[in-house]
Amino acid sequence: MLALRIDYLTGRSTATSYNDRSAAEWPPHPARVFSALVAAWADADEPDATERAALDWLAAQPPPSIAASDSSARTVVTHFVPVNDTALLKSFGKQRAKVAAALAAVDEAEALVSNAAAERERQRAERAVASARAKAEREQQKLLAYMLADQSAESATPSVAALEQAVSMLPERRTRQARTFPSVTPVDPVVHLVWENAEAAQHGAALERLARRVVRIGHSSSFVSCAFVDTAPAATYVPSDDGDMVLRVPGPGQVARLESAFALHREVEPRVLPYPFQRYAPTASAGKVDIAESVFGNDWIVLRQVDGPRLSSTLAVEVAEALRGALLAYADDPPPEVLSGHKPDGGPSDTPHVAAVPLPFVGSAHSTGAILGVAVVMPRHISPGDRRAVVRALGNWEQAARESYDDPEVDAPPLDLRLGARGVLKLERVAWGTAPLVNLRPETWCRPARRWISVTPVALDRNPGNLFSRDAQAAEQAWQAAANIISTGCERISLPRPSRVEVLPSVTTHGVAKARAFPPFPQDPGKVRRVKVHAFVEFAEPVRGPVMLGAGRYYGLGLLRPLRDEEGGGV
Amino acid sequence: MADRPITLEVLHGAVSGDAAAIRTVTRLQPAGGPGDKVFPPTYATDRSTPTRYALETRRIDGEERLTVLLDSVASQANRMEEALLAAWEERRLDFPVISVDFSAQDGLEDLGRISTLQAPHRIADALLRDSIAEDGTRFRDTPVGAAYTDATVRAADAIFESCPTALIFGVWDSTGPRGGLGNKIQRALVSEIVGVGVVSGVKTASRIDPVGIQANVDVYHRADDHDEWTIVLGEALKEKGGKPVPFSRKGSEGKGKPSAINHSNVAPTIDATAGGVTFDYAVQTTVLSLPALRRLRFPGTNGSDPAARNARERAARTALAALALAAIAELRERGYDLRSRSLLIPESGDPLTVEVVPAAGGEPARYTLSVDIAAELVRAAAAEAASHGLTWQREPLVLRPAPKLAELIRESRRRAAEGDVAEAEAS
Repeated sequence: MLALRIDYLTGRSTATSYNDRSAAEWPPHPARVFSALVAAWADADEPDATERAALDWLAAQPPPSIAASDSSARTVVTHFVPVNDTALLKSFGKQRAKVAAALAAVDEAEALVSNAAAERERQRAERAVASARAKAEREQQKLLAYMLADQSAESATPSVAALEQAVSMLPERRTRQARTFPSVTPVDPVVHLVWENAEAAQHGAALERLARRVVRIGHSSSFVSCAFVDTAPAATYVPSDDGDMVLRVPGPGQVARLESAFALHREVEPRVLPYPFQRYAPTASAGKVDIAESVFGNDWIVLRQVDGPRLSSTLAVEVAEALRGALLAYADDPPPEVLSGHKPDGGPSDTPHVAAVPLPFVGSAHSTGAILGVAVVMPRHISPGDRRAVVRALGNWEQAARESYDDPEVDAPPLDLRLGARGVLKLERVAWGTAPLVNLRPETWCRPARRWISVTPVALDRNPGNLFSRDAQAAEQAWQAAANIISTGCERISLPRPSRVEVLPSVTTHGVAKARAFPPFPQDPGKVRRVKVHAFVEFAEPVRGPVMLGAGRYYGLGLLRPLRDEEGGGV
Repeated sequence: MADRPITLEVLHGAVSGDAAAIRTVTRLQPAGGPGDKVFPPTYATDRSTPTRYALETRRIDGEERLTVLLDSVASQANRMEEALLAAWEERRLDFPVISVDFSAQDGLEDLGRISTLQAPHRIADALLRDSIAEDGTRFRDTPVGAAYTDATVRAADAIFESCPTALIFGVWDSTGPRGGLGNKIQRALVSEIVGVGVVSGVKTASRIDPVGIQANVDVYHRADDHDEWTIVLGEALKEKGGKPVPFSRKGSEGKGKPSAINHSNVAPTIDATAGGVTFDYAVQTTVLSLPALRRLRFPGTNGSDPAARNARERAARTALAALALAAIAELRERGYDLRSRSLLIPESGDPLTVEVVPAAGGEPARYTLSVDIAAELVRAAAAEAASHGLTWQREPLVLRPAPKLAELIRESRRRAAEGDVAEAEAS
C-alpha cells in the first residue's frame, strides 16, 4: 500500500475547479496532485531520471482512493488586482533587434567580398557592403534617437489617454483587473491519496524526494506539505463507475503528455491539462450493487462531427445507415455478423450486434437537437475477436482517409461520411475521457437511473392500433398497447419490465423533435412502416444504460436519456 | 510555556532540513473589546447575496460556525511590505530596496519615493521599468536591472541582491523584456485574518443640516457661469423653452435640490449588506513555506563545488527566512488597523510565538519572536550570506521617473485643478 499524505498548511485549499471558474475544487483531484509532483521534478536544474521513472510508474497505477474530510466553501468574491502592463516608454527591444540584424547583414556582405573571385563581383560585393553599413548606421541612429527621447519630456500637447496612462503608473491609481480565488476550508487539513495495491519498491526513495519538494497544490497561496507514508486512514472516496463525482486522474504516459502541453503553454497561457476522467463515489455507497444492464455496452467509440452540414436529429436513421455502410465497406470480407447484423445465411442475427447511434444536442436550455456525432455502440458481451473486427474496420477507414488526404503531415484527418444530396459529414474520433460536449460522453447516456426519456422516438415492433382514432376507447387501447410493446422492448434488451411507461407524441426535453417530424421508418418502400412514439419509462430500481428500444434501436431510434431524480419528466 | 527565542541555528536547520513550514497563529479581538463591531472588506457581489462580505460556514470542533474574511492574502502581504518599509526607513533593518525618487521633480514632491515594497508588482513593476537611473539609462539597461531581467528561480542571485522581498512575496516579470517568459517566483509567505462566529450587523447613515436648509428649495445652474449655482430665477441658465436648468453636479444626487450642493438633510438609511459584524474571535494564520525557499537556487559564478554551493544556498535561504520573520514581527508590532472601524489587537498579552512544522507531521517546535530578535537574525544571516558572495546593499540603485512620465503627471494634475469645468461641460 502506498499513501501520499498532504497537509494544507494554511488550513485552506485555493484551487479553481477545472471546468468552472467560479467554483473551488474539493477533494483535490489526483491529477492536480500529480501535476504538483511533476512540477517538483521539472524544477530541478537537471530533472532526475530515477524520479521520472518513479512518476511514470505512479501514473500507470490505477486511480487512488482518497481519504479527505468535507469542506466548506467561502463565497466567491471578486478581487481586483493591479495590472502591470501599463507602459509609457517605447520598448527598445524591436529596434535593438533591427540593429543586430543590420550588423549581421554587414558581416555577411563582407564575407562575400572576400569570397568574390572576379573583379566585377568584388566591386558589386563592395557596394553591397557599403549599403549594408549605411543601413546599420541608420538603424543605430534611430535607436539613439529613441534613447534620447527618454531624456526629454513630451513637447506636443498630450492626449487625455496619455495622461491617464501616465497617472495609472502610480500605485494608488493603477488599473485593476477582476480575479476570483475560489477556496475551501477542509474540516481536516490532512488528506491522503491511497494506492491500495501498489508497492513502491525501487521507486520509494525517488517518490519521497519529490513529495518533499512540493510547495503548493492549487493557487500559489495554497501551501502544502507532502510525504509518502505507509499508513492512511480509511478512504472516503473510491473510484467507482457508478459514482456521481468526476475527478481527473493521471493515466499511463501522463508525464509525456504534460511535457507536450508545457511546450505550448509555458506556464503562461491559460490551460486545462490533458488528464483522463474517473468517477468516484463516497465510500458509504461504493459497495457493489447489482444494477441491471442492457445488452448494449458502455464502451463506445464516439466520432464527433467536425465539419459538414448541421443535421437535425430527425435524420438519425440516414446518418446511422451511412455509418454502418462505411464500416461494412472497410470491414473484413465477408463482413462479421457483429457488424452486419445478418447471419451467414442472410437471415437476421439472433445476438445483439453493433449499433450506430447519432448523438443529438439535447437537454440544456439552448439545445438545437442537431446531431453532434455518432457513437459506435458495441454489445456488452462482445467477444474480443468481434471487437477487434470492429476496431479493424474503423482503423481501415482511418487509414484510407489518411492516404487520400492532401497533407501527409496530418496524422488523423477527419473521416468523410457521405450522405448523398445532403452533403458530407466530417467525423473525428474522440479519445476516451476527453469529450468536451456532454452529449458526446458515454456516461451521459449510460449513467444508472430509474427514469428515462426518449430523445428519438421508439419505432414500435408491432402496430398498436390507431393512436389518433376518433373513437376514444380505441385510441385509449392503442396507447395502452403501445406502452405494453415498449415494456416488452425493455425486456428484449435484458432490462427488467418497467414499473411505468407513458407513451407520448412529443416530450418537453429541450432539443427533442416530435415523433411526427421523423421520416418514415424503415425507409425502404417495400417494408412495413413502423409507428413511432416518444416514451417516458420508469423502472423500480436504477438500470444502467444505454437504453435503446424498438425496431430502430440499431439505427439511432428509440434512444433514451437518463433523468436525474430531481429533474422533471417531460410528462 | 517558556519557549526559547528562535535562533539562527534553528533557521539553518529548518531551511536545510526536514521542516515544511514556519507558522504562527494569533488570536485577535477588536480594540474596543470583545463583541465590538468590526467592518470586514466588502466585495462586489450580485444583488441576491445578503452581504458583501466573504463568508464561509466552517465546522470547528463539530459545530457549524460562520466565518468572515477580515484581511485577504494579498492585503496582508501589502501590510507586511509596509511594515518592512517602515523598519527599513527607521534603519532597524537593512536590506536592498530600490526606489523611484519623485522628490526632485517640481510639483511632484508629494509622491516622495516609491519603492519596490510599495509598487504593486515589486521589482517587476511597470513604474520601475519606465524609470531611469542618474545617468539616464533605463532601469532594465542598468547592470542591476539587466541582472534582474536575466535571473530565474534557478539562478536567483541577482534578485537576492536587488530585491529579496520579491523572493518572499513572489514576483512575475510578465511584461518585461522577456515577455511572458520573464522570471516567475512564487510567494513563500502567506497570511490571512478570519473572524469566527460571525453575526452581521447594520449600519446607518444620515445627516442633519446644521443651518436647517430645507429640501424644497430649487437650485439652478447660473447663466453666467455654468459651474456655479443660484436660487434666483433671474440669474438661472435657461434652456430653449425658457425653463431654468436644474443644477446637477457629477457624482452628487438630487438634481435641482440643495443636496446637489451638499446642503440640507439626508434621510437616514440602514445598510444591512455591509453593516459590520461581531465575532467571537479573529485568527491570523501566517505560514512561511520552506519548500518554496528551497526551490530557489543561487549558483554563483565560480564553479560548482557542491559543498560550497550548498553552504551558499543555505545562507541565502536563511537570510530570506529571517527577513520573512522580520516582516511577521514588524506587522504584529504595528498592530492590526485594517480599515476604518476595524482595529484589532492580540487577544492575549503573550509574546509572538512561531512553530517549526516538521514535514511528515508530528509535534512542531515552538519559539518566541520579537522585532528585536528578528532584526538580529536578519543582520547575522545577511552577514553570513555576504561571506558567500551574496551581498545586501541598502540601496543598490536609486531611480528617478522618466521626464516624460513626470511631465505627464504634472500636466494631468494641472488639468485636474482647472478641470471640473471641462468635466461638467462634457457630461
